[in-house]
Amino acid sequence: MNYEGRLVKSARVYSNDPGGMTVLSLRAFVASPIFVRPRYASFYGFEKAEPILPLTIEAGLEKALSLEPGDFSLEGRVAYTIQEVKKGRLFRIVFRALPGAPGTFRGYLNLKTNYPEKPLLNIKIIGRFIQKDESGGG
Amino acid sequence: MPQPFEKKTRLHLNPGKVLPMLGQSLAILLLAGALATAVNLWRPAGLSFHYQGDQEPRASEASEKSVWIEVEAAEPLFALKKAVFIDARPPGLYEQEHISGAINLPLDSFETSLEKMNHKIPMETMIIVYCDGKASERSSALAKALLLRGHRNVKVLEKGWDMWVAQELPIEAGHHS
Repeated sequence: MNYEGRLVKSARVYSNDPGGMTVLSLRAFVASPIFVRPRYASFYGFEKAEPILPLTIEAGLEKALSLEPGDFSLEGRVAYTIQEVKKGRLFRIVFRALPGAPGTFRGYLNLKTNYPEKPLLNIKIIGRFIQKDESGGG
Repeated sequence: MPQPFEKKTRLHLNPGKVLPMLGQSLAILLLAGALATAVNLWRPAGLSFHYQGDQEPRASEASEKSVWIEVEAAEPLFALKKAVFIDARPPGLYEQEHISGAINLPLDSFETSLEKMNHKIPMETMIIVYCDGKASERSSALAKALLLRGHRNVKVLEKGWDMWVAQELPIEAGHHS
């Protein structure tokens, strides 16, 4: 999702041409329209804890970025807020795990954007909560 | 029919030529030695010139000991906060993303950062070093350097950052506070 930089791909083509094998190569520069850091939200903690996890979303193109909440699959387990830190450029998503039983959960938050290059951002959310006594009293 | 080119040479030992050749060979050897010493001094994890006694593990011992730890074994240590994670990658990569709570100790500026870190991390604390995961060269070199400086529980995360992310374990962006 966040990769930006040079990209070189090549393929060898073998044929019965007297010239023998040919290499076809493609060189490109990949520009990312949106940067999401970190790339996923992964909670790790003890049961009944309410850890928070911030994520930043940064516009990679010159035009202003706007975000709109889409599908969210972890209603009741995780809450989130969207803050616009720098108008049209930088957003902060803060996820907060809601107190619950130990175990693992997995879901996602979709954010709709106004960028046709990336109309939908899918943010994976993973939670692993363990019982307090597993730590040996810690 | 042209004959194949053939030439037989005979070695004549002329003292007037041999002595300068020996001198040049000696000069090349001395230059190579000086260059190797300079590179070793410049390297952040260079070899020590002093024998440090049996109390301190040597680099060769460090490599012989099992310093590798798999992500599956590192995960509970992370969860229970029983290990300090050290990111050996350059600061730019660390700031983009790193293992949650990890300290950045890039191999290139190792010496300057280590002194500050030594005050924070007791010698017996479990330290897990990681880098990008392809060859783990940076993390292995850093682990050896930490062992040489007296840290007793140092491990290298097998397949490093790549494997941690593949398992979708906790990561964060920016500076660790």
